[in-house]
Amino acid sequence: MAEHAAHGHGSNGHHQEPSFLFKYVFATDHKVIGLQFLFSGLVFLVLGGLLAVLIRVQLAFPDYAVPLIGNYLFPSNAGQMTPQFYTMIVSMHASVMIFFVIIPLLTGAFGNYLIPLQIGYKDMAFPVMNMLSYWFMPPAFIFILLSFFMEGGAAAAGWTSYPTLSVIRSAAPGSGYGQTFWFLSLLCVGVSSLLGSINYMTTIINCRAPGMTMFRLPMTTWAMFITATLQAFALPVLTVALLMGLLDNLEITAFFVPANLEANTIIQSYPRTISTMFEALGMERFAEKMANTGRPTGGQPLMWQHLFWFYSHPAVYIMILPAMGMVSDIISTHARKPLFGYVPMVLSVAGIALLGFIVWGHHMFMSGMSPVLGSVFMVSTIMIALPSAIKTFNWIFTVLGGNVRFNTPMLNALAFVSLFIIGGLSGIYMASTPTDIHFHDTYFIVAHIHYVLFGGSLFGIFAGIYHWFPKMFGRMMNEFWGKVHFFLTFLLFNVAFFGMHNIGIMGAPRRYADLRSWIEGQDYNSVMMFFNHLISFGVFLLFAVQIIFVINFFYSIFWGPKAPKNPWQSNSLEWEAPSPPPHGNFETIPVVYRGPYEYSHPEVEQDYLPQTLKLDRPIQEGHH
Amino acid sequence: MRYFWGVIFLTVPLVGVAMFLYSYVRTSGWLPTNVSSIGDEIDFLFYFILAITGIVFLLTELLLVYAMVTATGRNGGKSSYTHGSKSLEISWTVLTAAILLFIAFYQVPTWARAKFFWQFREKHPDVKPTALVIASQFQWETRQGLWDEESNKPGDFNWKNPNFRDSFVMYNELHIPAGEPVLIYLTTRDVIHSFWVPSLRVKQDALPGAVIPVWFDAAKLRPEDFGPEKTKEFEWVCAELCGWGHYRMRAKVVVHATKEDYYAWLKQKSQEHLTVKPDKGI
Ligand code: HEM
Ligand SMILES: [Cu+2]
Ligand SMILES: [Cu+2]
Repeated sequence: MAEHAAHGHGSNGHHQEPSFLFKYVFATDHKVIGLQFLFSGLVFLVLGGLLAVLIRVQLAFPDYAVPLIGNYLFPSNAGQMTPQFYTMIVSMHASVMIFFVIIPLLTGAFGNYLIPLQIGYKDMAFPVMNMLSYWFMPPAFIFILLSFFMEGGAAAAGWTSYPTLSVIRSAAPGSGYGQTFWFLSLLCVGVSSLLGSINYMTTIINCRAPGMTMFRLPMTTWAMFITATLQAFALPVLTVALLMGLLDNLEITAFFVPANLEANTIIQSYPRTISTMFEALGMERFAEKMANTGRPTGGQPLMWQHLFWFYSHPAVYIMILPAMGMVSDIISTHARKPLFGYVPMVLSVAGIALLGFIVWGHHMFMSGMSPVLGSVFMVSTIMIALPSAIKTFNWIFTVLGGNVRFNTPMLNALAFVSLFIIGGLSGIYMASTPTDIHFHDTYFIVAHIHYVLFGGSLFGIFAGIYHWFPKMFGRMMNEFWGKVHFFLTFLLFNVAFFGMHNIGIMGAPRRYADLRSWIEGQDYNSVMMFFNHLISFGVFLLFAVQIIFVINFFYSIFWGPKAPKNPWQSNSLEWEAPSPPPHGNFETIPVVYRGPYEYSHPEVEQDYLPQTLKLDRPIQEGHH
Repeated sequence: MRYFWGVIFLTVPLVGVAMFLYSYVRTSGWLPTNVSSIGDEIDFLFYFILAITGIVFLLTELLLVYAMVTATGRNGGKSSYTHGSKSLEISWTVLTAAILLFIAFYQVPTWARAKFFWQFREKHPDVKPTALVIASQFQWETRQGLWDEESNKPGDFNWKNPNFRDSFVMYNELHIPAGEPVLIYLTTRDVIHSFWVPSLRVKQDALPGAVIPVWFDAAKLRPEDFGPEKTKEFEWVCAELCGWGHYRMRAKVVVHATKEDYYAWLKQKSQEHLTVKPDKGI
């Protein structure tokens, strides 16, 4: 491997400067592709956030017209949001955040940008494939945006798109072409991720700089490597499921549609329907049915759930492992202390990935899947908390006894740890099948999701942006405004999401367009409404204060102070390249002498020891 | 500055505990009232998990804050130089694994009682289905067997293919007696719905193309808990997104104080049903 990297690719002087079109649009440079993912991800973050605000407007003020846009969108409903619209935005908020924001930002943006830099290579192993992986995203963007303008609106069957709701076109207003476009759009995202993941694996295995052994890789790259492996194994299953769903939705097949359903029609002549329905459960009349309707029948709605969660549970780890890796690097750097338990950290990421493939059934405890199978999934799911716990302890022990610099990247990384603890612990309530009888499909799940995906992944992304911004743009972000942004985001996040645990325990169902008039009594209702208002105001303010980040981000790109090569005195290879690195990254291919976490070594004067620094006398180091 | 951030990070556990205490006091115990026998076990497990996770939550958050405010480079302006500790890693791995395994296996019996049909059948071999519940967008249809005058008990009805002669239909209402185990069969006409009665601690998705047995009881209700009307109503809602009307797919489970009250109601309902013209369909 070392050889491979060493011969040939000396300096960027070998590369011809491409024209504008190929430099910034059809770019093959991993850094430009990373930034393309970054910018499109951030744009969709704003869209997803706007949808969230609309959701909270409806839940806090179900009786009022939606301000500003109500009269245009819902003229026939006196400006009040319709439940049809509500189910649509709930579905699209989650779909956008998961498939267009978190996954592309973590793997697409940071994976692309950081992997070659951290392993000391000039680019990805397959630059053209890398370009293609980004260019499968714009069709996905177009499909998902167009879907809002289809008749009936965008998909409204939840981000999970359970059949038969999602594949019987009359079952929901969004189950027509809105849903069709949802399937198409996700197919494109899937292809994009798959191309990326093959590239990441190949690059990390084959292109490491001389001396860069696997166990000298920074955690970020390790996490990206394992995430890519997860994606490569899980995505084919999603692709298959999406294709089947698409064909079902177009009424060509019936993989997920059992015989004789009558969606959207309330049939009064009850005995006729129910008897034919049960007759058709036997196999006798399938042929006749097919002849009558032109559509085959006899599928299994549960099969979608199995296929979908076989991908989507690993996908939730795809959405957290890269952030865990980044946070590990950031905490070690700014605590000026070696990462506590590097090998256990690597092993627990691998453990999460492996276990991640045998827990998907925990989304299906109430689905009608065999409850015996449910108890097996309960045990495997509860055990997946083990590697998460190990990681948490190691982060805390990395900080303990450190020399912490409380700057914006570090604060966001610490927030990740603090909030991930909550998300991990709430997982246990739902992993426990008996208590999940109560918690499944309540706001408790919504709280869990947001503590891991916002508290975890998004704070990880913020930490990553603040930390690697100097490398990406060659300028520093403003520390003061960074801290103000962090302070407000951290507090408002908890205002916005903590109360969801409480109303979840009280039994508020998720995906309800109106949460009022719970039967338990006056007090129950008023507590529910108190939290509802608190959550909504938290969300509104949380959304508003992100403007600080946006301004800081764009101002700093153009006018921030120039960043040195290694502003944080960090050890890993990306800080050896100029800020921002030119095409080809390194002036000479670096040679690696040690692991990335040699901070505060007692025999070295400065408190860091870059991976590339050759010492003239040997010293005792943690790992090699 | 580090104390400032320490305090900010301390707000997470503080705000968390405060919100839990506030809603505990205001709702006398968070969870919806429980009237079922399985609910006692489920609620106990909830408090059991709450205790364990609550302690872990507070300890880890406090340790994090402690680590933050004490991380001042007390090793001569540098941090302490350590790459980890094998004994610590092993001990917290083993300890956590043991706790988690205990949590997992400790809960299996309750789950089995709640959901393994053969366990229910073993215990109650001759409980007959009270109703066939059919979900559709956006209502619940319950079909219950008619009262059988000859044997003087609820009649058998063919739940696989019921008709107006052996059963009657109601919408968004299910009647059950208190104190008895109740068995229903659950299915749907169109999309996935979910049968959820929070106070009975029962939840089960209705699956297109399948009929699923569901059982529960209101065993904690005693005759003296009822007022003069001799019935109590409990919220019954749909818990799985089933379309735009999902939020309004709400119904009531009506619990009768005693078996006799329930029978009396069933008798009366059957008579009403038989006096309507059969060709009306229902
Ligand atoms: C300690 C580890 C975790 C455990 C034990 C756990 C357990 C669970 C369980 C049992 C459910 C299903 C609940 C139900 O529907 O009844 C669930 C849902 C979910 N989890 Fe986790 N989880 C863990 C960590 C994570 C992480 C790290 C993420 C993402 C970054 C995540 C994201 C989600 C999401 C998005 C859902 C909701 C899916 C839906 O829409 O229904 N979880 N979790
Ligand atoms: Cu999962
Ligand atoms: Cu529903």
